[in-house]
Amino acid sequence: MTNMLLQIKDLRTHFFTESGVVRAVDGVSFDIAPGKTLGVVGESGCGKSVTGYSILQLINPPGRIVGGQILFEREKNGRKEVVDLLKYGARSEDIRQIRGNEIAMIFQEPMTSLDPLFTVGDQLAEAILVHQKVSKRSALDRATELLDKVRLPQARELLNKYPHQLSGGMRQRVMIAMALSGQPKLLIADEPTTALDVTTEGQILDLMQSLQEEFGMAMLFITHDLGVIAEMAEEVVVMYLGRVVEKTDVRTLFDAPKHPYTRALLESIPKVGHKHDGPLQTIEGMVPSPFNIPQGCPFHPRCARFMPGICDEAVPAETPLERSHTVRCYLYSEQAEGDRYGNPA
Amino acid sequence: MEILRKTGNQTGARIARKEDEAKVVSVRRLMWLRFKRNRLAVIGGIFLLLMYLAAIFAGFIAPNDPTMVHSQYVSMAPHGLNFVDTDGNFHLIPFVYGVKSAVDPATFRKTFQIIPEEKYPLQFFVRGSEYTILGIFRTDIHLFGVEEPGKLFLFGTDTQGRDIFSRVWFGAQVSLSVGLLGVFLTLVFGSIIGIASGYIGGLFDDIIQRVIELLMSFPQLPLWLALAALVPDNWPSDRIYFAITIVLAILSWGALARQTRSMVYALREADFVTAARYSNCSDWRIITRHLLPNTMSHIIVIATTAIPGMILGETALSFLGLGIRSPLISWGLLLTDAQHIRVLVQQPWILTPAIFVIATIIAFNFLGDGLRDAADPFAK
Amino acid sequence: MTRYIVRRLLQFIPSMILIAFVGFVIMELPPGDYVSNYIRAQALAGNQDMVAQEAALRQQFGLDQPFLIRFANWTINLIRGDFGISLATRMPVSEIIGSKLGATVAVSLCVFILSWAIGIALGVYSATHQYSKTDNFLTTISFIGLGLPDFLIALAFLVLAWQLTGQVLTGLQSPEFIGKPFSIPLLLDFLKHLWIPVTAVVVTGMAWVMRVMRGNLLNELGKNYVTALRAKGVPERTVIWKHAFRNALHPLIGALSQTLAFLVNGFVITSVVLDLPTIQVTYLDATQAQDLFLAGTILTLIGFLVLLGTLVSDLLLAWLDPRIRFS
Repeated sequence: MTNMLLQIKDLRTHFFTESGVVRAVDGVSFDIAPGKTLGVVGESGCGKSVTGYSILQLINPPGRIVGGQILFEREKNGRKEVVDLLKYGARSEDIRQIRGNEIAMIFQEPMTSLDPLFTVGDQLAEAILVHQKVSKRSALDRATELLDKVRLPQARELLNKYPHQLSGGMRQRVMIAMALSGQPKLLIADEPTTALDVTTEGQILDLMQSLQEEFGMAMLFITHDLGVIAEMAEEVVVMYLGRVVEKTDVRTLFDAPKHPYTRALLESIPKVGHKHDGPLQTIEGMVPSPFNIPQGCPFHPRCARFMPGICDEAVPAETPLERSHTVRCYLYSEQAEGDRYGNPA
Repeated sequence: MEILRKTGNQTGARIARKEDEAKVVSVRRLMWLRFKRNRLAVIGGIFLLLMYLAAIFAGFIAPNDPTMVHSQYVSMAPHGLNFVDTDGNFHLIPFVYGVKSAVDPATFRKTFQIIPEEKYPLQFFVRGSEYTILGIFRTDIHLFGVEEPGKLFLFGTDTQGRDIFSRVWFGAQVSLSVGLLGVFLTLVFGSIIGIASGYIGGLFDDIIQRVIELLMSFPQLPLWLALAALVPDNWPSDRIYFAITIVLAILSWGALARQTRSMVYALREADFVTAARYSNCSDWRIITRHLLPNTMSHIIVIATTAIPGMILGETALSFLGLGIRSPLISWGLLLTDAQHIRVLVQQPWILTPAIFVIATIIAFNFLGDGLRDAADPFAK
Repeated sequence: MTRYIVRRLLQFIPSMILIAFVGFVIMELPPGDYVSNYIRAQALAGNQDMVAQEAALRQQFGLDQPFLIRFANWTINLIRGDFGISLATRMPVSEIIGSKLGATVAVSLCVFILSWAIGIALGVYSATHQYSKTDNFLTTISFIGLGLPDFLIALAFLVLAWQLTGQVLTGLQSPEFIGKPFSIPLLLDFLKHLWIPVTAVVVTGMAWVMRVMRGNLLNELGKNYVTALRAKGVPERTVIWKHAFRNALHPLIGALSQTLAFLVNGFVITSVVLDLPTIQVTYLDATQAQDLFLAGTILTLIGFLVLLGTLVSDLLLAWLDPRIRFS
């Protein structure tokens, strides 16, 4: 467990709305090693994106990070030091210098992630100029190189184009180029291909993989698509209603999933080569209202292996199985955590 | 949900959507819940309800006949109720003093002095001048008043010696109804033109849109003034009332027609309309049974937000002498005296009706805001 | 871009003719004309010999000709820059308008600049401090200000000023300064009068600008590109002013189309109650007196400024927004 690039410990991000508190992220912990890819998977609304936004403190009110630590190993003056990103204020100069420089991020909606009023060149140059003391001209040169890197043809002309003149795939490439401008140690990719068509998706994923290798950066890959996880991730975190329910490497996830939720997720996707009789499996019921998360294991109302009197009493603790595989389920350990909603006692 | 929506954070929006799924309630109930949460809108609504009730029962609330000239009491400052008399004694039932007028020998201006010996206690359900309610019920019972020869002028009197307090409530009848009637006319013009424009489309639609564009970009007031100046002086006052209402409505249907049209456009493509068309519904049936109910809540909201503008328009026109004329009373008409600056600075209480104009307009704005939010419970 | 401008300019002409026509028709609608009203008034005043001059007067003003010819003559003269003469004062319309324009624009510009500057500043502050006490306070204030009729506020100020200083601050100058050359006391006297109309109108105008600014900026701040900008390490100040603010300007620039017309025709009633030497008052008097050429010219001027304002705001939008520029 030594030498982790990013360690998230018991992160809690809540939204204090008029209708009540939404505990979007409620006690999430995981680590990312340098140069590796961690996939975060779960249904929409499970808190995976909020986790990603929390790392760079991009949570808008009424959301607030209410607890936890985000330890990031950064190099300062040639010395390695570990800092807690949450110690920095969301508007502080410290976090600003990390954003887009040491940790970059790309988003789900490439169509709306660029300012429509500025050219691609302006926006790329801006990303460079906010972190590096160079002239506008050399920033634009660097921008051209970056556009080449993300395999956009005719990079020079592209600099003078406005976002609305580009396709979704091209915009996402521009976003990736922008993210690479500071040669980040970590790239947070929040469903980067969800809004794209399948062909473009494949190209973008290939591109990200090769760039990851070239730049040697770690990646936090957030998606709801297990297929994408299989292709991209090395380690995987499965989230459900703001909590990590299972954490393992990608092989084990597909070969020997432990948590009933993970299993249900896997059963709900069709497999090539397997003959299926009858309809595809779905997970029973709906994701509960985030205002009203069930007590005990939050998955128990939908769980095929629900044990009354156990699962609906307290939140199960994270149980290590073999190697780095952990799971939160009473099938594997009786140990509970905190009170009935998992709050620390 | 409101807050979540405003953060615009995608994740927040997703959570908000989940909330809607969780609570399966009817749209109408959802609107009501949303409306109720906007406290200012509720207060505005209640205030307006009271104002309209008061306007209907103006004769009952007003202690004096609004057209009665009290020649002994011209331009008298508000003459309030007292609980404590000049000797410092407390009275459970408030009273007014008798008043005598005198001419100040230095300035030759008329002054009023109270007569400490004359006390007229406030009485409820007293008999006074005759009036009708809604033109049907004739009675002479007033909510409160004082016994003759005592006078009760809560807001003072105007330059002709009429009771401003009583006139305010009778003025409310005209000023508040002009808004409603005007908006009703706007509603009729606007939704007919809008639905027709959206449903027929083509060249007709183009022409209507150009006209609306011109109408909406042109400042309303100069046109109102020009049109109001057309109303002949010698018309009877009730006909002038309707003419003014039409003048107010004729320039304000544009926004409504445009909104209705765009909604018809959106709905025209909606599945249920296509379904209706395939099942051989007539155009008329599609409009009345499918399009109208679906656009109604929006139309009503837009109409509500147009009422304060109309009330202001009436006030402004009457104030300038181009609107409502005597013997009808309106708030704008009550304020005309304030145009004479000398009168105004010496008798600032003639501005009292302005407080009612302003309060009503603010209340309508609050109500309109609440309705706008409520009409769109799934607002993006 | 050039084609866009040319197309917009071509659309300008038919709209302008339409507006002139509407203005003329409205002035023509009332029964009788200026001459008949004038003669009647003179007759009432015992001036019976005017009656004989009726036909001559009508011929002098060209009122005996058919409607369309009168309209055509008037339009052609308009284009030539000859606006005709005021029937009531027998002065050239252009001279009357010219003499009022200075004061009108002086007051309106003050109002415009102040209400936009304050409104934008407060709107941005409010949006960037959403949910704070100041935001709640400003939002409520703007809400109230939005509904207030400026002429009533002006009247209230007038009363207040009288009670405090004993002066009646109508008009824009005290009588002793009228027609005097510029001096410091004259300027002070001017400012002493100016604040009443300006403050009264700014209170309501500012409220609108602030609401629009706040609403749009909040909307923009919630958009993805803002989060993306923050994520790439752009300082918050730049995020707001360089990006979100510019995007939020859209509807305000759209509203600029009304602004030019507002400059000569805003706050009509405030002008009237405060007895300001502005065009608004001239217009009202002309409408009431049926002074055809004067009222018609002012109405057409307003229409012209509306069209010009729309053109300017469209060009500004195209300059600001590449999506319009390239479509």
